[in-house]
Amino acid sequence: MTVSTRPLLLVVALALAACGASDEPDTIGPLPHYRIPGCEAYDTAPCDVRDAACQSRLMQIAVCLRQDEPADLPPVSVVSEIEYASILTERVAGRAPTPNRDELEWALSRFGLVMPGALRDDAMVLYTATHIDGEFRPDLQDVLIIDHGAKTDIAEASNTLVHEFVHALQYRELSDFGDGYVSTFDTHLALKSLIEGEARFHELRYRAPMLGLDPRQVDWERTFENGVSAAETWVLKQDSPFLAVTVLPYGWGSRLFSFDWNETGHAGVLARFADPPTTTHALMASVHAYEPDDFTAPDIALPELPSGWSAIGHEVFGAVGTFLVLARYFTPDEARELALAWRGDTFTVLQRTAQSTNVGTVALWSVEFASEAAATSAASRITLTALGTTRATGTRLTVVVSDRTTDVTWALPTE
Amino acid sequence: MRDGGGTTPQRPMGRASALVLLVVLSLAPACGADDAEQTPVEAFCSGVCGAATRCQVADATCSSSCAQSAHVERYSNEGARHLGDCLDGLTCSAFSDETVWNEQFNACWQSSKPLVPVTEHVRGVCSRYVEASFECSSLYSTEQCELDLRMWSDDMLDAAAACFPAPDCDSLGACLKGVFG
Repeated sequence: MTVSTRPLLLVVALALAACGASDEPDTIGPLPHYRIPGCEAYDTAPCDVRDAACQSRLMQIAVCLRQDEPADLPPVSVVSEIEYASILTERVAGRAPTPNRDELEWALSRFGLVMPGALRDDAMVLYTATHIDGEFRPDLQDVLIIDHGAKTDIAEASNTLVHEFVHALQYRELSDFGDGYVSTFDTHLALKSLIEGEARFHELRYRAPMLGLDPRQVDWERTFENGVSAAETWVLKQDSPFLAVTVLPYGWGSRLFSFDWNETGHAGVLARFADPPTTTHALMASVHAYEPDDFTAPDIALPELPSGWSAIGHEVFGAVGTFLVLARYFTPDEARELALAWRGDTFTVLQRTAQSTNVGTVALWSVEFASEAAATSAASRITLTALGTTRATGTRLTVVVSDRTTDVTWALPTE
Repeated sequence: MRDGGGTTPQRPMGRASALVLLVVLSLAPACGADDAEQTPVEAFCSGVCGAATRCQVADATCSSSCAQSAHVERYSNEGARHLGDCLDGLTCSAFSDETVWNEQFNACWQSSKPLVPVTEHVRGVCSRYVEASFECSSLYSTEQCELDLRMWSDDMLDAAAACFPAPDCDSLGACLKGVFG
C-alpha cells in the first residue's frame, strides 16, 4: 500500500464501519500436526532440550531419520555464548599455534579473503561462539547447545539438537572419516560437506513438520538449492569470507544427499562416505545430481626461488576459494562459472630473510583452468585492480602480491 | 550463518509512526460511541485518545488525526479493537518519549495477539508464507505465523500472499518487507 492510496482505503473502511457492519471472524480449529514420512511414530513438536524426555524423543527421531540403530543418549548441556567462548579458548590454548599465522593472514587479506586480525585466536573464538548453534564433542561424547539469547527459542534448539544427534550417530560408524586425506582448505571443506551435509539433510526433514508444514507439500529441490544460494550470498557479504565459507558445506552436502536418499537411504549415505568428493569443485558442480570430478588436479610447481626466498605456507583454495577471490571482480554468477572451470591451484606464501630479518613477503596464487578463455578472463578483470601482478599463460592464471616494492617477476611464468 | 528467509511481521509501528502520532495527537474529547458500536478504527483511536486525554496532551482533533495517521486500516478489526483497549493504558511518558511509546505499543501488540481469533484467511496465507520461508532456510513456524498475521487486515494478508511464490529468497524478503515495512 502506498501513502497516496491510504486515505481512500481508510475512507472506505470507515464508511463500511459506519454502516454498523459487525466483523465477527470465522474461528477455526487447531493447527494440524504433521510427522516425518517414514517416522510417523514420533511427535515432531519442538521441546525444551534441557528436559530428558525431550532429548530422548529427539534422539529417537534422529535414529529414525538416519535409518539407524538405537543409541545411548549423550549428555546434553545448554551453554551461553560466554561459556562456549571459554570452552573454545581452552581448546585453542591446548593446540600448537599456527605457523607463520601473521604472514598467512597478510596474504589472505591482500586477496580480500580475511580482515586484518581475523585469524587471531581471540577473534576466531568470538566468531565461533557467536556463529555456532551446537556441537557434538567426540572426545567427550556429549552435545553442547549454544544459547544465543532471544534467537535461541525452543524450535531453534530442538532443530539444533536433532542435527547434533545425527553427528553423534555418525561418529559410531565414521570416527575415522577424513583420515588419510591431504588436509587443505579445499579438501577439508569437501569432506566437511559430507559430515555437515548429512546432518543438515536430516535436520531439514525434521524441521518441516516441526514448524507445522506438511512435508509432502515442500518443494525439497528448491529448499536444498536455496540453502546453497543463500549461504553463498551470505558468505560474500562477510568481511572475512575465508572464515565464513564454512557454512557452505552444510548446503552443498545436504543437496548432495538429497539426490538419491529416497532410492538408497542410509546405505547410499555410507557409500558416499566411503568414496567421498575431495574437492569443492565436485560439490559446487553437483547441482542436480552427483558430478564427481572427471579430472585430476595437476601438480603446480613453484617457480625457481631467488636466493634468500623460501616458502613458509602453502594452501589449496579449490574451486570455492577461486570463487571467493573472483567474486570481488565478477558477479557471483560469473565468478561461479569461472570457479567451475577450476582444475587445480596452489597458494603459497614466500618470505625472504636476511640475517634473520624479514625483508620481503610475497603471496603467489597459481590457478589451472579448464580453458585459456577462463584464465584470460580472470586475469583481465583482476588486472584492472591494484591487487598485484597478474598474468594468464595458456590455461594458467598467476597472481603475485608483494608487501613492498619488491621485484617479483621471478614469480611469474614467462609469456 | 543465521537462518535467513522471510521477513517476520511482528512490529508494525516503528519510529515514524510514533512521531506522527506525537505530532498530530491533540486534545481528545471523549470519543463518545458506546463500545459495542465502535468501529475498529474508533476502538483503536478511543484507546490512544483516552490515554492522551488522561495525560492532557490531546485536543479536539485527536480522534480524526489518529484515524488518519495511525495506519489502523492495516490492522485486522479484532486486532485493532484489542490494541485500542490496551493502548488506553499507555503511561503519560509514552507521549513525550519515543522509546517508551515504541516499547508500550509493542507490548500491547504482543499482548493483543493471543486475544484475536485465527481466521481461515490467516491460516491459508500462513500455510504459503511458512512454506516459502522454510524453503528459504527460515525457522518461522505456522503457529508463530498465525499468531503474527492475525493482527493484520485482509488487504495486508492479500498483499503478503501476492509475494508467493517468489523467484528467489531475496525477492521474497524484499516483497514481504514492502508489505509489512
